Amino acid sequence: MENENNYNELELLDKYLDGKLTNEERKDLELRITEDEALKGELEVLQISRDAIRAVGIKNNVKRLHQKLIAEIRSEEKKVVPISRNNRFIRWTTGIAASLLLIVASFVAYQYATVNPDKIYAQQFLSYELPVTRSAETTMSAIDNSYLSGDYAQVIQHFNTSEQKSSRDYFLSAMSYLYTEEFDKAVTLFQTLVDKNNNTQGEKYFEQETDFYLALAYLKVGETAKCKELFAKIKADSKHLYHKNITRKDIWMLELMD
Amino acid sequence: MQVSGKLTNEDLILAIKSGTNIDEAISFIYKNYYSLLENIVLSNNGNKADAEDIIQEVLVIFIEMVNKDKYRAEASVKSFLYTLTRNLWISELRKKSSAQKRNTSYEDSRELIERDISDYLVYHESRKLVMTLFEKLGEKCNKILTYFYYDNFSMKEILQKVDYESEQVLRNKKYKCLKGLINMVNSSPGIKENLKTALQNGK
Repeated sequence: MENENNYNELELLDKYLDGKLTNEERKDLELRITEDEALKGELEVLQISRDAIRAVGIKNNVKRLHQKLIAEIRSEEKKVVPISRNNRFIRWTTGIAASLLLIVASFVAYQYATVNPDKIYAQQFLSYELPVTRSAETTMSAIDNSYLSGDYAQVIQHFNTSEQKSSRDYFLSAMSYLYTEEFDKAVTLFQTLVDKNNNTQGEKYFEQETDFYLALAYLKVGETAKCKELFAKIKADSKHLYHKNITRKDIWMLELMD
Repeated sequence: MQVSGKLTNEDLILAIKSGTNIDEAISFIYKNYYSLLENIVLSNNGNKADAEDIIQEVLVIFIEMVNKDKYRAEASVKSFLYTLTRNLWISELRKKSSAQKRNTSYEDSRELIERDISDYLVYHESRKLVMTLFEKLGEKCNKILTYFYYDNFSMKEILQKVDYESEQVLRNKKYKCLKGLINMVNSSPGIKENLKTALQNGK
């Protein structure tokens, strides 16, 4: 009997979530929910349980399709990069290996002989793309819009005239200084962001992005040692967003210059 | 690949919302955006297997957000998926390195990640446990509740698929299964507080 009563209550809540109660039943239930904490809790658990059931349904459907689609993607990848294993190919590659080695060695020697900060900067620099999704509560700021449209001078102008500056504004303006090649100003803004992050107990914003781009800005203002320090920090942290962008060779080249 | 022609953002959203063309939408996304999304994971310390897991999870979240009208047409599907994948993967990396959890409060609403996506990920993270409990519920219950809540089949349609003598028996079974899941949720330590926050973020 107790079970049956429980099911009746559950069915009532279920129908409420489906919008299937009469106006009177709905009002009555809503009043009880405001007065009865346990009933409110029951409704919340039911709500998330129904949602979890749907999510598992979607997950299984995606998984089913994934297995088929990923096989097609992988087979197309193989078509793009055919791997020939015949002997002739192997003989051919072995035959030219020595020549290639010589070319690579000469290339590396040339690289080291001509190493300079501008070259490393040009090799490392990646454009930073701003995510362009929107939400109900937020709108894109003037700085976001100018950055998205590539108007970096405008980003800086908005930044300089804005009273309230968020970490995002600092980051985008520092990036804009990189684009407009005012590297000393970029360094100053990135350093401010580093200080902000160091002084906060809360979420740190653009921390890893700042490591990377501040290192590049250091290169351009002749602070090679500081750049090397940041590159080494990024390289040492395998979870760093830019870990794979930095090679041991980069650090070695910086040592040559330092 | 079976998908032919190009689907616009509107076509994709309609296909997902209709429920009937959802496979076509997923195929299109795989064909056109998979390598872009995979690359986010590969270039950030992940491997192909990580990418496969993350992209499947991204699609589940994306489909749900579309169904709940949390996807806004101002962003293209491509950039929405890009941001979602990047955020989910970063949160995964943080978990792996035991760094800060993502469900901290936002000091500035425009910071780093879009609030819609970030809130939904907090919700999704808490709900994952309920999903796991549901998967443990047993095959029969699993099937019946999926017919009701995922497929949205009517009592009559479900009755044709399962072996129950009447709608009343099926109804009782449905609520027995649902009650079983709710009891499992209620007896999971600490889950209730998490769910409260989750519901505030994901409604």
